[in-house]
Amino acid sequence: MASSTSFVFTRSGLLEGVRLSFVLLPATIIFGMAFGALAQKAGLSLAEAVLFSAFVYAGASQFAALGAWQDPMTLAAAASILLIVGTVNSRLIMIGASYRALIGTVPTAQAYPLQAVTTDFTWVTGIGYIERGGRDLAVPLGAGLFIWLFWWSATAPGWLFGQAILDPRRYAIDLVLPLMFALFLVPMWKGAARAIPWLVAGLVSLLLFWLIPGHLYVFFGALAGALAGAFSRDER
Amino acid sequence: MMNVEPSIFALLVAAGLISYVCRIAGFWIMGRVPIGPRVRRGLEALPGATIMAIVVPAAVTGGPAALIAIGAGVGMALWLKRDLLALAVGLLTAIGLRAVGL
Repeated sequence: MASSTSFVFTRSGLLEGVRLSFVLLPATIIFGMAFGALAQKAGLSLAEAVLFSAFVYAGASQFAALGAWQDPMTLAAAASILLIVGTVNSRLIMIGASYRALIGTVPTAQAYPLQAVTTDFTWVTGIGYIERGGRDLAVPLGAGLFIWLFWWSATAPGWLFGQAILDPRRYAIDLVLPLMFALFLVPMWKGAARAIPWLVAGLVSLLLFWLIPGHLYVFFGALAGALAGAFSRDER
Repeated sequence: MMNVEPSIFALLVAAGLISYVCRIAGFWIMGRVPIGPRVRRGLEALPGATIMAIVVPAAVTGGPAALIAIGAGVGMALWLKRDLLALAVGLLTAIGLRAVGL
């Protein structure tokens, strides 16, 4: 396993990461613009909206936070925004944990910058690359930085010309993300027995989504799936 | 337009810090847990489980069009193994179904 493998960071890896993330660009730009448009409606200035995207770089939490935005801002609203950002992004805790199994041997000084620019999209790109035998961690780093650049840049035209974006449901923009994730699952399929944790995760997440208000359903759904995997009898 | 209220700036910095803590917390914690066979199996199941925990509620709340579109996209991916084409088929399916009111 990974304990004896050494990882590298190279310039060509950075470029490879950029190349691999081209496929993520359309969704990134659409979402970035949609965020800008909604932020403008919620009362953020252009600079504030762009800074939000640059600092947080986690779309789902940003959209959810806008739902609690107040203009002018109140202390209570600010507190609930931070709570929303923390709970929606709790799924990133799971993403970080899964990275540990793959790249646990990397020095922390290199691992934490990578984690800082890791988001759902680039994580899937990164684990796919590493599972195919890739050893250059500049690849996921490059993907994370490249998508980050487009994420906050796309916020600005969305803020400026957002009125042109009509009902996102009509153009199925709300489905871009679930669809891409579902497609990422296809090459990860390794037989029905290995998919039991997936089933558990999906069901628990859905139940929690219905039963408890808030945004922790992804975190606990993923945790339930990991536990199902940990306690499965599958000895390989 | 280019103004940034100091209080909003502080809020955005705090939101960014919280996100960063979420990003490193899992990696940090799992560096302190001894990784035996059980923990390893759990971590191996984690990527697929996380994706499912995101996709399933989104698919269900997106209505029947979402479920059919995701099914069509996954079907295309299995058949032709072309991600971008599968994405396009899935999205066009959803747009078409919603246009006829599903």
